[in-house]
Amino acid sequence: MSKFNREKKEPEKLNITSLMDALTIILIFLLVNYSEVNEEKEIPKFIELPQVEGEIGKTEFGIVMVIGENKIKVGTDTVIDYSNFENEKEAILAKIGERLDLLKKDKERVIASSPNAKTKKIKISIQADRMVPYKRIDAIIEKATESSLNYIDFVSLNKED
Amino acid sequence: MKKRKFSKRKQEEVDAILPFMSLLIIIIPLLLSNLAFYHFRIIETSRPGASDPDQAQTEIKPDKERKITAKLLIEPKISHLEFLDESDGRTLKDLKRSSDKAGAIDLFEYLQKIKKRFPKLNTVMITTHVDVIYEKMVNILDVFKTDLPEFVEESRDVAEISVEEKDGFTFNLVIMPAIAELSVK
Repeated sequence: MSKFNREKKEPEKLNITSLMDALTIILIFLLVNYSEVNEEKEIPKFIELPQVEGEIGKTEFGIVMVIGENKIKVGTDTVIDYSNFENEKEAILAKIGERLDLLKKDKERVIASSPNAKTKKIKISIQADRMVPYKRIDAIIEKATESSLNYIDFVSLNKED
Repeated sequence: MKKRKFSKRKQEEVDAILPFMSLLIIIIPLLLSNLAFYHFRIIETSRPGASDPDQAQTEIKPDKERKITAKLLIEPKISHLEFLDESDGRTLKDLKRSSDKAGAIDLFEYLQKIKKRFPKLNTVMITTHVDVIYEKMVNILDVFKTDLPEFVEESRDVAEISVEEKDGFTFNLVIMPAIAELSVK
């Protein structure tokens, strides 16, 4: 008889108060760190971006070009390795030029297919290692200009107070 | 009987928060996908080149307003800010400051004063020495890209202000090819 009573006992209720608290905290954290940037949320490991103090402006990336000490990344997939930029300059710039032409055509296609696009400018967003000399950046900007890519953005990180 | 009443009330409470739970289940993955661990800053510049010229820049403007061009030369230790009269190419002023954030702020403050006198001044041509590192260049350029909202109010009666400028004026930064030799001091 007592065994029969135990079986009919109501199931334990789950207290979700603490779960709700945790979810609310997560929600607040995520809302604070929400970003409208849809691409390039990560910085490649081979560069250390400079940090600049001040207010954050608009962050809209164009064709991303990452310039490191021994590596250059054009767009999202092409990585060009080198040991001495000055010695291999011609070959590196030729590769960059080819890749930029392809990326530019892709962007032009996207802009043409979306007549309501905010801007028709195709920009190059340069993310360089903080110690990279301007000589290298200038050679790359010059190559981009040859491909009629004249709008250059310099990307840095926002220095937190 | 009493126990059943209590359990019914509990069930109603759970039913009341169910829509909120569902909302959280939708919002949290959405926010997670847009989580930013880094806050980027962007300095917008342009470079004159072989591309098709900008239609707005080729328009012939009346000569009655003096056009002044600011030229910023960033060298490893010293930055120069020069103001040129476009009509005769004469240098109006040449300032030298240290190539750091403090020096850049000083130069920018002077640039604002000149802008008040010559409202048509809206472009700064930047020339950087080949040995200047990216960090130094970005720190200096960031100062020159500062918004000037108060200035727009002051200059409203002396200059025509375009729609973009009303939202907060920033100078157009034009990047010129790098230089290798140091300027004469």
